[in-house]
Formats: sequence, structure tokens, C-alpha cells
Amino acid sequence: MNYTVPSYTVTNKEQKKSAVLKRVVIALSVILLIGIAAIVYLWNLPHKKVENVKGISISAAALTKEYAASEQAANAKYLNKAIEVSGIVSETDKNQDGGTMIILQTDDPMAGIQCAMRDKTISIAKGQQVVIKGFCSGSGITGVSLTGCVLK
Amino acid sequence: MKKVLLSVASIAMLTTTSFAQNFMTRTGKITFNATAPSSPEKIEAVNNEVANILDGKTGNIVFQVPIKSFKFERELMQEHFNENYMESDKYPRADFKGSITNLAEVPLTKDGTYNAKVTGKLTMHGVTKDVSAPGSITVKGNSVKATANFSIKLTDYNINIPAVVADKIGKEAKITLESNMAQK
Repeated sequence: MNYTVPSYTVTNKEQKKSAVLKRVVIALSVILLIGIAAIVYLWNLPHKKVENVKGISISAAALTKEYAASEQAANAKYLNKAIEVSGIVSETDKNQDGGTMIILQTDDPMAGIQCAMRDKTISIAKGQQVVIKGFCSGSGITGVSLTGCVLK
Repeated sequence: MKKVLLSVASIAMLTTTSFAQNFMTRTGKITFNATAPSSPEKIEAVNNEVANILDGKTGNIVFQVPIKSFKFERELMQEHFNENYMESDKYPRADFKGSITNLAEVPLTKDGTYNAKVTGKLTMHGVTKDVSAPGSITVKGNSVKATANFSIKLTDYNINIPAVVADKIGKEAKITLESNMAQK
């Protein structure tokens, strides 16, 4: 079977057309690549690390007092923000997945600052004076909660 | 106003008199799974920061769950969960307040595993609903372990899943709870 290849005479106009087409194709593939890169980036977005965020410094007792005065006002100020809480370790607790929670002493015996430590390899003694940095996740009957915490 | 003050005072007195029989933890665990049957991705998260107090005298039980302490494998899902679905800036906590209704069958001073019927109110995403679920209580010395499995319908709590992700996020979330309380 024979095909006759149609022959074209390449005119100036057609040359221009293909140049434009080339540019459009390049532009579209760049957009596509950026789109794919953005999706991959978002999909693999790392968890926020508290070290990379500037923290608000406060004592364990002062933070508890602010929450006791007005939970709403304190949440507006601290919720989801990085805070650096200074205090004395009153208790430590292991969760069911081997993580550590450090409780900082406050003036209220029922309410401590509950610091869920991010790294499992934490060793700390009761009575130690510490500064713990973490994201505030609000407060409840057992005190103010910090999550993703690290020792400063 | 006087009445309010009086009732507040009596509640405070009740809680102090029954204090010795309280069991509590700050590291209770809740996992939820809201993966739609057809989803290739697992929509699940763990929270190890659940506060739980059980009053041994009355059977009253409280769970408080800081929403921002739910950990997802993917940060993006965690952000969507907090910002789009749970609106945790506005509603930072889920609370359950209820009681063990068959306390006579759950002797908290005797070692063993007992079936507990728990009824109460769950407040989440600004909506309060009556919830009852069967659970299990295991007593061992001074510790009380509470476990429960139940499902909640997301629309009951005004959590609306957009059509684009309806094939990934299910209509119900399966909740698994395990809390190891110690006598306080």
C-alpha cells in the first residue's frame, strides 16, 4: 500500500502560526507542571513545628488565671498560637501510644497546664523548673492544653 | 441570682464531697475514622489528649476533647478538618456529659470487666445531641479503664461535606474511645 505524502509549501504565515503554537504548548506545560508541583507540595505538607513559630511567653499560673477569668478572651489570644509556658513539673503521664504528657503546676490543684510532648524520647523529673513551648489547643476541666510541645 | 449562686455552691460542695471517689485521666485516646467506602485515602485521626473524669458515687462521666489535638498523618487533612469541617477556632472543644445508667451493675470497687450503658449529651461544632452508647468498664485496683465504640452522623452536628470530597469522606464517623483513669 502506498501513501502519497502531501507536500506543503511552508509559507511565512504558517511559520508564524507554528511559533505561536509552540509558545502556547510551552506555557500550558509550565502551568501544568506548576499545578502538579503545587498538588504534590500540599499533599506532602509537613506538620507545623513549634520551633519555627515565634512564641508568646507566659507563666503557668498566669495562663491559668487568664483562662479562668474568660475562656473566650483567652482563646482569642492563645488558641492555636505557639506559647512558651514556664513552670514547675507537677506530674508526668504516658499516653497509650507511648507519648509523654507533662503537667505544669498552677495555683489551682485541679487544673494544670497539660503539655503533650511531640517527641517520645523525653525524660523529665517532677519538681523540675522548665519552659515548654507548644500550640495551645484550648482549656477544659483539667486545665489548659498545649499540643506538639518541645522543651526549651 | 441568689438561686444561681446557691446551685453553683451546692454543685461545688457535691463535687468536693465526692472527690475521693473520682477517677480521672488527661491522656484518654479517641480515634475516628470517616473514610468513605470508595475512598483510596484513609480519613482518620488520633487524639491522645482527652480529659475524662468519672464520679464513682453518682456514675456521672465527663469527656472533654480538644479538637486541635487530633493528629492526622497528612497536615493538609488536619488543616481542612480544623478549618473547614470542625471550625476549631470557633468550637475548640467537644464535650460529653453523661452518666453510667446501670451503675449498680458496674461495681467500681471490685476488679472485673463490666458492660456499662452510658447516656448523655454530646456537644460538638456548636450542636448538642443526646447520645447513648454501650461501653465497657474494666476495674483493676485503683484504675478504671473505659472503652466504647460508636458512630456519629456528621450532618447531626452541622458538618457538611462538599460534593467534591463526598467519595472520600463518609457520612458517619466511627469513634473508638479508650480511657485509662486513675483514682484521684
